[in-house]
Amino acid sequence: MKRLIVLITLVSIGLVPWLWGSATLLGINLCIWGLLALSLNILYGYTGLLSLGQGVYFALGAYGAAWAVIYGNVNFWGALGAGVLCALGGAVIAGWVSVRASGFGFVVVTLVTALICYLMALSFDGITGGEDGMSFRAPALALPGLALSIQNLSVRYYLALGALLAGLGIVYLVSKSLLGLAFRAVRDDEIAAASLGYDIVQIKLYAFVLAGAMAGLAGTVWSLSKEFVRAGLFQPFGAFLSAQPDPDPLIAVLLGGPGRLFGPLVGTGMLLALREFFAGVWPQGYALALGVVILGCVCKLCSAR
Amino acid sequence: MELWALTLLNALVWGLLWALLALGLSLIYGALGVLNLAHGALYMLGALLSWALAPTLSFWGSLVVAPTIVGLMGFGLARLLLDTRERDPLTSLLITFGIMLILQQLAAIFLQMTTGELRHAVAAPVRWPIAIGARFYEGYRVVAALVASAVLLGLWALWGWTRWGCLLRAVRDNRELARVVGIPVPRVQASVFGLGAALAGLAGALVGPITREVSPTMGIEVLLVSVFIAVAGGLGSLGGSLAVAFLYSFSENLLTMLTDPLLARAGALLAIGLIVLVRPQGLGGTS
Repeated sequence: MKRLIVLITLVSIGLVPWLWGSATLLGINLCIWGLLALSLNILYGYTGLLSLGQGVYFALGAYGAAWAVIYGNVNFWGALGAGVLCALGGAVIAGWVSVRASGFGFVVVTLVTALICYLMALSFDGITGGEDGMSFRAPALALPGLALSIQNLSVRYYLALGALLAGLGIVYLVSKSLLGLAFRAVRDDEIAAASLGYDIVQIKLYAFVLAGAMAGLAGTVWSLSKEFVRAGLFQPFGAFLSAQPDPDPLIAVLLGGPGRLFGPLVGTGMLLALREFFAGVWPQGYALALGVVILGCVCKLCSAR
Repeated sequence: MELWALTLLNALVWGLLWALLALGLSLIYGALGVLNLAHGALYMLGALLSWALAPTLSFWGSLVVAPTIVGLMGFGLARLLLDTRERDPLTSLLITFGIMLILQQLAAIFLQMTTGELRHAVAAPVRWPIAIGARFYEGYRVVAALVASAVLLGLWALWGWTRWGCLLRAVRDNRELARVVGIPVPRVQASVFGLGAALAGLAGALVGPITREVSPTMGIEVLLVSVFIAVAGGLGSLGGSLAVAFLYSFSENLLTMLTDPLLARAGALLAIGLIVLVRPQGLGGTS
């Protein structure tokens, strides 16, 4: 019986563009922002590192893909690879610095990294398009035997779904591996983990780079399906400056429960539902509700301990 | 030559304003062990209140009233939400993050309902142009700098010479021991949060006429920079915050002589970042 329900759910998720055409766009959003929240969960949920600048790697992925298409004229898979590599490279550099800071230092360094990247993206508006952003033409998704246009909504849905499933698979495998155990050891007690012979800095760096690459994948899929990038993606807390903020990965992780495989997805789904709800009733109420939700979650976290 | 003089003056004025913000953060961290992410929102509230009250109270009256209201609000928020009997420090960080979102959105909703606009222009309260060679420097900025330095001096006196300052230092140095000798630690902590909030509100009220604009989101970028200054100065160390605030302001303003303002700000942040890299505990931090 349980297997049947799971099977039906999986099949209906796979058939969303045919069954509920109107929900496709929501599904794409859920997959992309869910993947970003999933990446933050590696850092905060599994390793205990609170990063407020995860959007930078999302933005680097988005720009990596856009630059590869505009300047390198690559095919679809080349753009995807370029985006992820760009975010990975950025995460290695920024991670090398930030994992050496501890506690609040880490939080602040991730924030300031985002601010510096944002200011640079605004300043070099010749290649980033600045605040106005720039659009480009995404290459067709080439599979053996067929070429699918990314303009097609269903193609975008399956692309985002595929990226999300890949992300879920990676997080699952990592959480079951020795590396995942090391992440949790660092989260639970750094000193104890160090005394067992773990190299704390190294392990944190692995988590940071893995999370960065995954956020980059989310950004790449976002920019390839929107065919648009803008410097505002780098902006720390940038989402809270707009009237209709995109789901914030940190709030999604907190809502869904840090350190759980599907938690970030559930949280992102709740945020999207909240946004849809408020969009019709009282658009300004959304960010207000987010603040209340954070306070509620945190207070619940406290009483649970 | 005149350009240099203007740049240095600007650096001095902004250094004092950054010092107000960073000192508030540092004080709050010292007493509560909380990195206050709502600081930018409190700064924004100070600016908005002073803009809203200036027509009735005159600018100088609002300069007193607005920070007081923000300070009382900070005191109340700390009493209500920040139970600081040490848990995970990240929890308190998230609480202040939630407060930030709520305050910012409440301000936006309030402005939208009362005026229909989110951004408002702020007029300079005084026009005393100061002639430097063939150029003019805005007199108001000098006044703002004087107010800020008077408050910083007052803070220093409060910290070092009064009974309340003594309580603050006791709470910062050892909370357990302070409680044992009968100091009402939670109340002192909340009052420090209120003091820090009032300093942020004052900085906001002073900055409004300099940037000539107030909006609900004006606090976000200011928050990031001032948090970084406070961390690089060593959280809890007032002298360190002061030194790094000036270091930041002077490097940013001098860099604007060479490059565009955005890159200058990025460069100044990188310069402060070097301090954190070499001394992770900050310039004046211990341990």
